[in-house]
Amino acid sequence: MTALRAIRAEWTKLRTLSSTGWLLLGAVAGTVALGSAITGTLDHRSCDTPCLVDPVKLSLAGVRLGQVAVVILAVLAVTAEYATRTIQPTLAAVPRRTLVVLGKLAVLVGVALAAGAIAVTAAYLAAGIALDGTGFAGPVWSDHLDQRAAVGSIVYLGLIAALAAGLGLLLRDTAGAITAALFLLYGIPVAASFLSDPRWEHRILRYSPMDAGLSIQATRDFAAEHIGPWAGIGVLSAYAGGAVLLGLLVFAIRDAR
Amino acid sequence: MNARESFPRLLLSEWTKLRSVSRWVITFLGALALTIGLSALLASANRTDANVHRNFVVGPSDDPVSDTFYFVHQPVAGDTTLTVRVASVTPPQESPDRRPSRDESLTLLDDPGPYAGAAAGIMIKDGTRSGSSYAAVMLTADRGVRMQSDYAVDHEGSASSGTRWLRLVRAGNTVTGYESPDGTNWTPIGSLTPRSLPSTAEIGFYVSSAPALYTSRGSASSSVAERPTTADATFDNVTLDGAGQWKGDQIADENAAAREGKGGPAGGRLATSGSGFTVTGSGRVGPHAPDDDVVEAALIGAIAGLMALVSVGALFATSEYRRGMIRTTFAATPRRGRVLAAKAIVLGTTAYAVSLVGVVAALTLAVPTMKNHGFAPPAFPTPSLSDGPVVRALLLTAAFMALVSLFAMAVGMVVRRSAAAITATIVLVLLPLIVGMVLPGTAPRWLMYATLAGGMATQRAKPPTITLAEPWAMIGPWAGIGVVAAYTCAALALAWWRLRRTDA
Repeated sequence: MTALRAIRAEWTKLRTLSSTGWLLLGAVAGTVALGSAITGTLDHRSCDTPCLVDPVKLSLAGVRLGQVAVVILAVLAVTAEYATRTIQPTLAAVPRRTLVVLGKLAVLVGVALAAGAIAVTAAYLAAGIALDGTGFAGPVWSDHLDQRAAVGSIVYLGLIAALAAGLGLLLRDTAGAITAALFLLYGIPVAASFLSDPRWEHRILRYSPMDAGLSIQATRDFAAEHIGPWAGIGVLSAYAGGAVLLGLLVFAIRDAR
Repeated sequence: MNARESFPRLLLSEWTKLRSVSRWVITFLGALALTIGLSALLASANRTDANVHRNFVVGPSDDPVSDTFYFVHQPVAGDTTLTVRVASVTPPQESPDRRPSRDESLTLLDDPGPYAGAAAGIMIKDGTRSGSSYAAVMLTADRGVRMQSDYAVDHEGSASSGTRWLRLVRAGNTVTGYESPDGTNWTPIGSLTPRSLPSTAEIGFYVSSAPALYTSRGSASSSVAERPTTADATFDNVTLDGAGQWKGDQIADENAAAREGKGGPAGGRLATSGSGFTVTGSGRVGPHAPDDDVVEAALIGAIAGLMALVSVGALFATSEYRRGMIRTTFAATPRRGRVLAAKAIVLGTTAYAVSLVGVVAALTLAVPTMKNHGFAPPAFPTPSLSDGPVVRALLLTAAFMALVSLFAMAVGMVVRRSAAAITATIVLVLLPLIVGMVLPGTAPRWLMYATLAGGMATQRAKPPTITLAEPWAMIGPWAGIGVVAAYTCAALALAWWRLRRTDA
């Protein structure tokens, strides 16, 4: 039962931090606010023929903002232990470091998935209202593509939590881990937009964690995506898994000070 | 110790704090390495075929230019004077069958520049080859009377748009332009020296009408459609020393005409009516550089360096709180505004110096690589550190990076948490860029005016345009740096207020 106890200990630590609730609220609010702000400005009359605008994808665009709160939450859950020296009692209670990390990851990913489920549901509902009267059809719960986009966005947020926690373990520094995570997520697509060679832009966006991971949100005009839906989730999983493995390695080798 | 002596000491103590944390020194060096490294790395991922598939002709100073119009001319040797009365000139008209019908996602590009729109005027030119040297005085449909030469020099005359008398006087290599409302009272507009005017030059009157440009952007891409327009003008009272026979010719780039198939640019016409001439012309005479910007692309690394500077800036403020250092700081200097000012000056200066070294090195390293990938003259003149716009881009980009670092410091002073300060700053810089690339049309412009992302406009050496996918190209560099400076000042004021109001 040590695994369950490790998870429970991590859950208690996360639950009792006052910032956790605010950050999760921020994740949901950011996702819904940006999504409905974008869908609210759409107008079917000003669209090309054929109209390639994907209202479902745009209604979930807020995930790009909401993920920031998940990044902070996951990084802080790891690095704050070093800043406040609680890492020593943590390791005294659960000496097996892999177990500590897995407990943390389980709690963080679980919390991110739960927040993601609420955020995506709310974003779909908000988009339904915002798209009313624009000539675009809102998300449909029974549609398979819309379901895939929703589930994919929730999984995306869970993987982002793992990626950020891994970076926190690797760098042990709040500022460094957050900067690194935001660079991976935002810096790469912005850098790619400077390139005038579309082939290189494609290559970079294909393997950038945010654009690959969120390509699952597409429900039409799939040719414009740089990678397939589940392959994109796979790319993000590789980033998250790599960061967690490296973080685990560093955590196992280095002294906790 | 009086206050005047203590401020330099305060600066010194803040500088000591900044340089003695090895992690920050490493981050500053990291910012430098990221700026240079990313630029050098991605320089080879940029490629263009603008020099292969040309949509321009090469002008007299080896710049890309557009030189298409209808010219009614004759050769004249030596010094001469040409006078005409331009009775009327119409605004550019698109032929109805080629106008976009219901495709409203296309935005008509409104070029406010002096080379756009329709013009009727008189010109002296080095032969009839498209792209050759010239000087001209013209009456435009909505830009007044102007005198221009060699696709680069523009002098403004009166704002008249109705009937106007124009005169061109050649004396040696100098061409002087005059205008008059009645043909008797003449006002000089300017004296210009075209680069190469042969002793026997073509002189005459002409009509140009710049094509209408429609742009469509959004979803991280952009495209531009060009539709020819025509304008009509009536000339009379044409007087030329020793006049011969007038001959009408469409001046155009043969390559462009061949590429566009049968028609090429909508052809011009000449009709004689009594003592007057009615001329229909189409095409544009002016600079025609691609909107892509070598300097901007070479400074790509600034975005990575900026993120490192943001984290130093935030930590420079928040670490004082984390370590309880702030109490010692305020015990030594109780005046909180001075401490904030000293911190801002030390961080700002250091960040500016690091950024400036970074962007200059990035440009120097990236440009030769980009030159090998098609960003070469004539389409892309090699940027030189002595060009005004290039220097401006370098100085302002470094200022943008330093100001954003200061903004992070001020936010750190307000929220006292490094995670929140870093995230807020980076999100304010980067998220609007990503959203702006997805949003269609000119909607992202307000995002650039409203967030720190507008600072990205400092990296462009070329004028703003809405034809590119990148949203920051829509606003000018000074507007961009202004937005960032306003944000930073507001954040510093808030930090000052918070420091005075709240206990450390």
